[in-house]
Amino acid sequence: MERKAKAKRFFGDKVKRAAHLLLFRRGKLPGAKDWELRARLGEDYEEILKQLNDLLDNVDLEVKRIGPTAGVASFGETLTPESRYVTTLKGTISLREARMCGWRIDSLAALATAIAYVVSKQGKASRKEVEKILGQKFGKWRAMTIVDAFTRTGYLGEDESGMLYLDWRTRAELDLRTLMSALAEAKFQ
Amino acid sequence: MAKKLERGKPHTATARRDVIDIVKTCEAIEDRKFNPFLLDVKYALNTLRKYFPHWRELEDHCLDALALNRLSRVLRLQGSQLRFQSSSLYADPAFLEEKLKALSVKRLAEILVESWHPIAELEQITEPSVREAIAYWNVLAPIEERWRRFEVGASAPPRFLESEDLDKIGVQAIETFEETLSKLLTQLKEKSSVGAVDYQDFICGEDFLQTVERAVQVSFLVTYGYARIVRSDGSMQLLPNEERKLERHPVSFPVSITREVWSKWREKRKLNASSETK
Repeated sequence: MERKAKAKRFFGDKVKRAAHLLLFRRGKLPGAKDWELRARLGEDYEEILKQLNDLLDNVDLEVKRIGPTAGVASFGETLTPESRYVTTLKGTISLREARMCGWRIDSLAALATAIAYVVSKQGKASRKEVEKILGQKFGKWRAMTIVDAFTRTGYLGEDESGMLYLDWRTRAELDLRTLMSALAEAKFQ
Repeated sequence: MAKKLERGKPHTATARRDVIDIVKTCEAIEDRKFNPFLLDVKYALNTLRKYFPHWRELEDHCLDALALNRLSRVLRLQGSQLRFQSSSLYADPAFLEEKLKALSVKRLAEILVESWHPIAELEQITEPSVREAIAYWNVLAPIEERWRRFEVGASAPPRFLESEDLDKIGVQAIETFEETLSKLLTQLKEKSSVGAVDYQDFICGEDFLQTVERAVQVSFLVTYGYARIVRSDGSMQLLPNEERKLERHPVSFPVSITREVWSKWREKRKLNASSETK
């Protein structure tokens, strides 16, 4: 009984430490890499993350792993060199809440357009094409600025030949199946 | 082609051209210019097989290997397209494009948030940020002193604001940023019809503010690939691009403009103008 209690307290401390590592930003990117978690939490870090996930479930958050094999949008491409764990919202937020988080409706619509277009082109589309389709709604210069912002924040990546692909943040934050189904079901206005 | 090959040894130049055509087609498919299924892989492989016994030079063998490698990539693309089309993510690109054009901005934003699970993260106080805050606090003047600076006596009587006044105070722009850049690009193209334009000459305006604004606008033109900066004999020359050309490896180039620098440029420009008139 005593041993069990000790083991529970031990994991409790490590769960706290894992929460700190995942929730507080330390570098350029949010979350923590798997080697970092292994070094700070020990070999059983995955078990600790499961416990943390159970706790976060109560507040509508979850621990997600972004890696080359995870996510539906990878299309067999290695986009991130190392696996990274992040905490994301389990449910979704309303448009009003998104605006309160600092997002403009324009930017959200542009993100939906850019991601859906890249997905429809099997995960890779030329930057010019994406800018063209965005330009029809937001103007040429704004389209260029928006694509720059999306590549900077990690929603889209750009390779040397000017092709855009879905980057780590899209794979972490977007449920592409829901997005594509919603677009397919949306009625023409 | 197959019939011609059966008769005897093919002409080497023709054979090379055919293999190069295969390589180019494969590369175009890889760049998403064509549908992967537009290439008849079986026919292409037969072509390579027919030519293979006649290759004598090392470079021809290398070309053959390259073509085979590119064909294998096209096959992989065909495979991934089949997998993709059978998945629930598949949507006809043309249909989707129409839909994206037709849907309103608000509806698109609503669709995104339905499938969006943003990352939760917190930003915390760090030692450097605390030091920075203390330094700022120490140099910050008391609020009474700061307010005193704005006491300018009785205010002017109220009057109507024209659109030019609103533009000056930054409430409403007379022309959009896009229009300003387009105008600047046209100006650059006109000036560069006889050759490269000197960077300093081009951005130097009637006052300091205008000069800084023009420098910022030129930086946007260069970043977006509508113009390029060339360095020659210690000076910077500005040239417009015929077509938009993005730099694959962009280089940052800081240009420092102070009032003193601007005054020197202006003097220099006046001297140049007077010598030209003489």
